[in-house]
Amino acid sequence: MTPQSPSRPLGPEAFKPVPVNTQAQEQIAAPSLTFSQDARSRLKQNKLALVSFWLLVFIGSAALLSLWFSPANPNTQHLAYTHLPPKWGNLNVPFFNGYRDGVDLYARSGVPRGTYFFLGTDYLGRDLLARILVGTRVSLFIALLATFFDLTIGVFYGLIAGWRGGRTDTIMQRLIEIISSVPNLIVVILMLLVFKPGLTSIILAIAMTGWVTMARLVRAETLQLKNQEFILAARTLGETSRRIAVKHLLPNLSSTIIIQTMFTIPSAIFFEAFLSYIGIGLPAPTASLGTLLADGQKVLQLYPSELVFPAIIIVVLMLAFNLLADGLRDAFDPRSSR
Amino acid sequence: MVQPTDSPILSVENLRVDFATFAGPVHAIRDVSFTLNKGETLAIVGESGSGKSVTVRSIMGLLANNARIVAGRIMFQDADILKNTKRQLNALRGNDIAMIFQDPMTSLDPTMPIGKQVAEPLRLHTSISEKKALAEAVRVLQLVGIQDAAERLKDYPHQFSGGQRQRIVIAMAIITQPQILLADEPTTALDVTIQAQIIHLLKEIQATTGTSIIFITHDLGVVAGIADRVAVMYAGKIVEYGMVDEIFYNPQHPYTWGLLEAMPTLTTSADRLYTIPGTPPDLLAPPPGDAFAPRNPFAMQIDLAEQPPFFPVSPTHAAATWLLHPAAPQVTLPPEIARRRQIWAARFAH
Amino acid sequence: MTNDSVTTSAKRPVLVQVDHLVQTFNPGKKDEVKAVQDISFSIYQGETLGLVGESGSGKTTTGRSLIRLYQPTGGDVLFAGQNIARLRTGSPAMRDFRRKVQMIFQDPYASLNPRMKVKDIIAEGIDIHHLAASAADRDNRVNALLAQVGLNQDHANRYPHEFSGGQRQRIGIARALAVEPEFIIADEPISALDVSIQAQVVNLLKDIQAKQGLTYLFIAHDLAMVKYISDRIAVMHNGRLVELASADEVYNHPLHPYTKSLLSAIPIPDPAIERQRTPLVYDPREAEDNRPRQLVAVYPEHYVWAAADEVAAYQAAAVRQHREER
Repeated sequence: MTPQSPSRPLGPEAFKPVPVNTQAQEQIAAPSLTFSQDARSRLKQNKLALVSFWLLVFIGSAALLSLWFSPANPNTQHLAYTHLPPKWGNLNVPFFNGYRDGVDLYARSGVPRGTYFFLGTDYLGRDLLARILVGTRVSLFIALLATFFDLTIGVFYGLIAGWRGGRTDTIMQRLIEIISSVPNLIVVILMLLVFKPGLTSIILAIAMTGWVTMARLVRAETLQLKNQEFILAARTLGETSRRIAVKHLLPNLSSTIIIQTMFTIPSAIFFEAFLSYIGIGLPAPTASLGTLLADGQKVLQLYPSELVFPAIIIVVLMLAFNLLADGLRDAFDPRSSR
Repeated sequence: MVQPTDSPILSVENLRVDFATFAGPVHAIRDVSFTLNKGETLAIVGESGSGKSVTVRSIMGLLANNARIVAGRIMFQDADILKNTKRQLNALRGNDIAMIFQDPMTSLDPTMPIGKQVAEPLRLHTSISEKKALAEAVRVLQLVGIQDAAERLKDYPHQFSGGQRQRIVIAMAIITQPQILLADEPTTALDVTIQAQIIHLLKEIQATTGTSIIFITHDLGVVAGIADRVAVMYAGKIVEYGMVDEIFYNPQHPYTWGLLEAMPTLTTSADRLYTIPGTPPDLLAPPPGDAFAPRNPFAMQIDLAEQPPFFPVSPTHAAATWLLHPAAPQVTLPPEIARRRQIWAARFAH
Repeated sequence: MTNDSVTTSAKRPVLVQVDHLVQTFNPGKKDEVKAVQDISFSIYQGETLGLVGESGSGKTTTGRSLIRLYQPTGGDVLFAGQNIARLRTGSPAMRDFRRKVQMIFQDPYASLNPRMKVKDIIAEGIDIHHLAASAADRDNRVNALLAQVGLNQDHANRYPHEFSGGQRQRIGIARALAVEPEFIIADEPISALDVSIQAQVVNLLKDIQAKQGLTYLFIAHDLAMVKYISDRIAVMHNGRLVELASADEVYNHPLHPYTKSLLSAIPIPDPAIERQRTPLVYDPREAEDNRPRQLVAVYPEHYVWAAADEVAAYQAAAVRQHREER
């Protein structure tokens, strides 16, 4: 706080008054960014989330395209070609050249020239890549389904419980507690009493329990939002509950919903894989990442690649969804990060 | 009774702090210097975004992760706090320098009994036994006016009212007998009647312990009640500083005028309140001249072009406004400021 | 009933009349809160009634009960002669009430939906009550409202987070004005704003009132600002009205000990006055002796919450204070 004198002598014109421009005061110079544009620019700064996103896009489109352009029929058995190592054409990449322990297994099994199994074959001689693509498709289908139940049952349930409050909320909360107190696994096992093992019981189990976390989150957020002054303002203007839900609640819940969906997906994928792995999920011969892992595990010591490839896919899927979810959370709510 | 002195205990020199944002660096503190004397209360007044909180947080090393200290020194006990290691800083925090935050609801741990919380700084910085620390906690809790302190040591924060909680926060801050208390809007969240009690309490503590206080507030009424000296901040800079009477009766900066004029007193009956037009500048791109110029009814050409230096008014009082330049024209003072200047003049007439 | 004198002494037309309003949350449960305990007062057409009290005094609850954000537990609220405490949600009378009474909120950061553009925020009421004939009419109305609160058309397409606190508060005011209300409840509209911005908002509210003949209930804890903007002031404490009189009367001749303590605690931006200040401490237990108390006129147009045997003392004090002034 040392006083000082001006650097140079000043002429009288320097001290001419300047009128205050009140209108200019209210100018906002910054370009107008909407909330989602803002979030997008933040997401773009998160390299890990961005890589995850494109990885998921790649895996997803590969799995989808394999519906039409499959490298082989995933269920065709070639009992002569069992346990072949991977072979990438004639590229002669180590581990991917069809040799195991110095022996060219493709030649020994009499595989015709021009036939390659990019990730090898399993114990029935089925093309592993084709099976992994089918398994991924199953996983992504489960992901889609879990998202669907999250967005319908979960969001709706949470909105009603949170908005109505009082006794409605209490009853709905008790119901949720009952539902979530029964482990998923038991639900599926009980369903085996009625249905054959397969997609139906998995879907039903997810439909019954998968949306519970979403409902809880949406309820908690709605409870907070409904006392926010902009909701009160809408009420004093005479807005109906339904319009408040659509116009004010859902847009403000959107980030929570998106983020929670991103966390539901990996757990649903894992749930299916786990059921198939222990043998109460998808029945043979349908491929699923879980059954592939189970098959691969049986021959782990002899042919580790049959476990490693499906394992890599499931790890990548789970990791990518989780990292993307983290990235989205930081993008939508910058305060939560660090 | 301990009187304020002229010997500095803390000095902030040419401090500059930037915040990294997506739009670029926000220059939150733009060359701030001041000293805190032993035993005095320095009030830093300013609006939200003026940088007053950031200033004290840099002293405590409590800046957000995206903050960067660009330049400056903060000298305490012949050493630059900003050069301290984490360990040195921790030894300082809560021991030599303690802080009181705005919200008594969130500055106490709801899961810890208050006795333990109040004693914690003592346990952290000395090797005192738990029993002795708790006994000391009882003593300071009594000092801040918590009745039956000994019986209430095991109570949790939620069992106290807002005003009592702020007293507990203050007890926690003074238990180590710090040389400096940093109070960041400690009464803003409280009701006026409680606010009056807390201010009274802080004055009492200062009179008995001789601690120096930096008191941050936006309320000039509170400043008038507690401060020995005042620094007025605007847009990351100090624009005027001086003894409390100098600021209130002989203000020089048009921003100080605006603040004093905009506050209605109980006797204001004018048809319209005086307002400072517009809003504070965006510190992403601070204006080249005086940051207040666009809102200043007394602005001159030079204000737009060049930042005003501090012009001394008295040995203790200076203001950064070109109006104090010898070549600047005389301006007609706003009525409230003219009234205050009269009080000032009358004092020297005696 | 002394309360009747509160409402019948009015010579000016009464717009809002509150009779024995009671607002209890979670009645009968362990966490029961008696936020408002039997208050009665009226608000005259075109005036500003200031409602002051500290946090937890029930002032915000009173405002929200008056605008039917809460369903009153007991008592009546008459707006333009109609008892709105009994209106059914969704009824035509309720829709009408929702248009005629508006609220300005405290927190400029929470009172605007962050996902909506400013023009849609302001037009919300226009849309609900179908006040605009066409999309162009809607835009015109929004622009006129923006101009009225000192903002301009360029702001219409922006989002709330781009505005400063004072600008946001003005957007909130424009939203309330959009439905052309008669009565506005301002719930601490300036307490979250900086000093230099508070005056802007208060001036704006005064200008609008002068132009459109609005009636205000101005809820605040900043007594200096309330004194400035209000014609009459009601002081609340622990869910009860303890004093009601004209603004000057409350400030110059406070009678209730709580009002006195509140006034003594206001910080004044004048060091000389501050040095001499002695805050008075009010002990709420003074009123907890279970004696029946009510709002009694102890001086013309000056009401104090008092027990029967305290009235004489208050009357004497009022007379003495007024004589001393002269």
